[in-house]
Amino acid sequence: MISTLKGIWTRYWGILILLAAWQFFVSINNINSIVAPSPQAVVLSLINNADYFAGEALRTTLTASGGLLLGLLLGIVIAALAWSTPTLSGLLMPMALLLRSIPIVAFVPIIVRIAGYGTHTVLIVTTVLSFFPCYVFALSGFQEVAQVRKDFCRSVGCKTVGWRFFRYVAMPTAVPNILTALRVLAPTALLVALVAEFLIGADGLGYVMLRARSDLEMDKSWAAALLASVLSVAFFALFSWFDKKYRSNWQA
Amino acid sequence: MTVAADLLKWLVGISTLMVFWEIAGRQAWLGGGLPPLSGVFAYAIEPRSTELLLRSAGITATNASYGFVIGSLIGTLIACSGQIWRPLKQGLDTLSTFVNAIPLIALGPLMIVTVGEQFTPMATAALAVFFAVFVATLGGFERVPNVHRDVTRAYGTAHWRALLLVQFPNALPSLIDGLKLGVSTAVLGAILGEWFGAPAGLGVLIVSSMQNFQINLLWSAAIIGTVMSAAAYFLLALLQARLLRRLGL
Amino acid sequence: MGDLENCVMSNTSHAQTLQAVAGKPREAESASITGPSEIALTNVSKTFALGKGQTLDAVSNVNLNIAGGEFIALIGASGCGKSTLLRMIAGLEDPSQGSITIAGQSPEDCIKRQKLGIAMQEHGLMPWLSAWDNVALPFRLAGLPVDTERVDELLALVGLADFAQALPKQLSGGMKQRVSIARALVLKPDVLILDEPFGALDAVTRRLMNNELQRIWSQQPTTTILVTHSVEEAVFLADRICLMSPRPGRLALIEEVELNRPRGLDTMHEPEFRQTLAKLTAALDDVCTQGSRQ
Repeated sequence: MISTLKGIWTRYWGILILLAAWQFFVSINNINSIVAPSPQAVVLSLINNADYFAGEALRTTLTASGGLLLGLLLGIVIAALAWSTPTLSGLLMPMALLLRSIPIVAFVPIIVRIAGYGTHTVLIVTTVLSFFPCYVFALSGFQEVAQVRKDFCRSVGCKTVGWRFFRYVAMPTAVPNILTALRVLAPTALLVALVAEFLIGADGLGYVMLRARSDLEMDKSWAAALLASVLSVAFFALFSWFDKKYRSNWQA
Repeated sequence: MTVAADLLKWLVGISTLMVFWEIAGRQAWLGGGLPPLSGVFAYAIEPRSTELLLRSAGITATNASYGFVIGSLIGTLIACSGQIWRPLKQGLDTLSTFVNAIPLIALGPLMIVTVGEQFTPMATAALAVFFAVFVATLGGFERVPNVHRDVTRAYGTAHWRALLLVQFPNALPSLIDGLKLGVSTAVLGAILGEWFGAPAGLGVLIVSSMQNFQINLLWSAAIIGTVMSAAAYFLLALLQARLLRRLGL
Repeated sequence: MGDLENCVMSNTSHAQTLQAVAGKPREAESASITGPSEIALTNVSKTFALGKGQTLDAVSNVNLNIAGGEFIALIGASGCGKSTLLRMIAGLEDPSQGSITIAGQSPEDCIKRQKLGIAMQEHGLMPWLSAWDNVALPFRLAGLPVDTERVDELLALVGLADFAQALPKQLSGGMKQRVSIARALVLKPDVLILDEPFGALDAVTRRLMNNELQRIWSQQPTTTILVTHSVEEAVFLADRICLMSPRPGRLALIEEVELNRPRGLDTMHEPEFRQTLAKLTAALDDVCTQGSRQ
């Protein structure tokens, strides 16, 4: 029992101290709950509005993962086209590199202006965000086939361009890269979905944060923020686990 | 030959994008949301808008730079403290994974209360940078060859001295990688932070122009943010190449 | 840019490959009836451009006739061009001058008809596939239906029937090389090309693997060309040994190995074996020191 507690402490002391500091900060300054709610108030708000929060969280999660998967699919398909057509990859690479250093959030309002206000825009935003990293990771994965494997394929009469090589060799070679892309992108996809909801006022946790704040329901706003954080951590943990589980099968 | 070919690819790629954009804007394929590139450019070089854009960009750049410096310092220090006092390490790892996973936007309310609306952009930028640098530094420490560790242990070197003389130099290339990634994150963090009631900056400009249908202003601001972030990235990449060559790595 | 052109070029010839495969679906089968093929190298040279106008003569004016079913070993110091020569025979590089024919056809034709099997020092197995699927992969890559009996048979031949479902990471270095050899043999090639297949193994495993290879080869008679650093390995396995001198790579000596088959681990203790080994080692040292004096 004591050793379990000790284990929890060595692993989670940072988070525990953070929580304690929060409670301490609120009670010592005798802060009005309109400025900053206490941890209990936030947890109570979560429990009392469990149905409401669960619905909004589900909505955000679905749009974020939907956008992530769409971006992934699009990234893989375009990367496959670029792989088979060097001219296309030459044209797309500078753009992909440029877009990598783009502050994505600056473009969310632009996409909103183009696509309008609504959940579909949140989906588009997360898709666009996910597309380029997925494209870059997938393409470099396709191109990473070791020379010795290419030689082997040629020796059995399979050219290193074309469908059979892609299906049996290039595509599987790219799997670890795609797993990495997913792991890295998962929390970002959630962030961008929240940002879009926040800006557009589309239903979801992002909007809850915004509306509760303007209604001065700080406990609710913070509860949404906390829930979003927990979701994001869960997303990251899930994809890291997935990555770890399958990556080892790619080491010869 | 290859440099020239790469340059050509870049030129062709970028000009294709620009031409495509111009046509799409003129034909209004995406409605009013995508103006022609020439229109955006003409708008941006009007003295009044240039002044506004530069002032906002300056504020965001300041916020991002402070955030970058603070975030990378804290990130490096915390990663080092885990090396000096081992028991801290695991808890630090969990904490920073958690902090990284927290969507920046969820921290808005917290930041406003703790550091105030004025300093929120700096704080969000610092947080964004912190994690990139922290993770990169930790990764660098992981890669210290065991032989080096054994040598310091065999000589009974003090922890902090071993850190300074052996671990830190080994982690440096990875740390610089983290800084490179962090610099574009800093711009992103600053813009996002400015949405929470900051008085001025690119972030403020972007949101207000979105709400007021000032499409040209919106695009100009977003492009300036991108150029800023890309320029900082390439500057650091250049610095990295120089430094690594100097260190013989 | 060179890569780009290459891709475009191979793209067009890919269409021809597909036609060839579609038109004659079981070319490999008919080929296996013809049995091991003879190989003829006529005035084969290979020059690489090093850039800035410099060139390297990797292989120079090699003439060699290999009989059907013969086991040839190519030995020589590192960088003497033996791997380049092998890659040309395998159709992975084109000679700058001269011609190579396998049963009267070009190496490329051979490749298209799946008459060639290769195994290299890096095993090149697909890490995500089980041993069984790795051995079956040539069928899939060549667009042929997978002959499951043949795959089972090959795995049994290399002694890995019990490891059919293991992933490469679960196999030892020697086992991986055995899978690689099974994979090279699965399409019943007429020519087997081995580039230092056991180069990365420790000395003990290597001897055992040579013995295994000798056994496998005697059950699957194919024309075999082996590149190796090890004179011992060459003498143990080959019918004839070609010694190559470095820069430019030429055939310096061709030596017949008069050892009876089947050979086993005992063969290495026979005086005949020791004599040939001593003679070739001396010749190799000679060729190498001459090369370094130049």
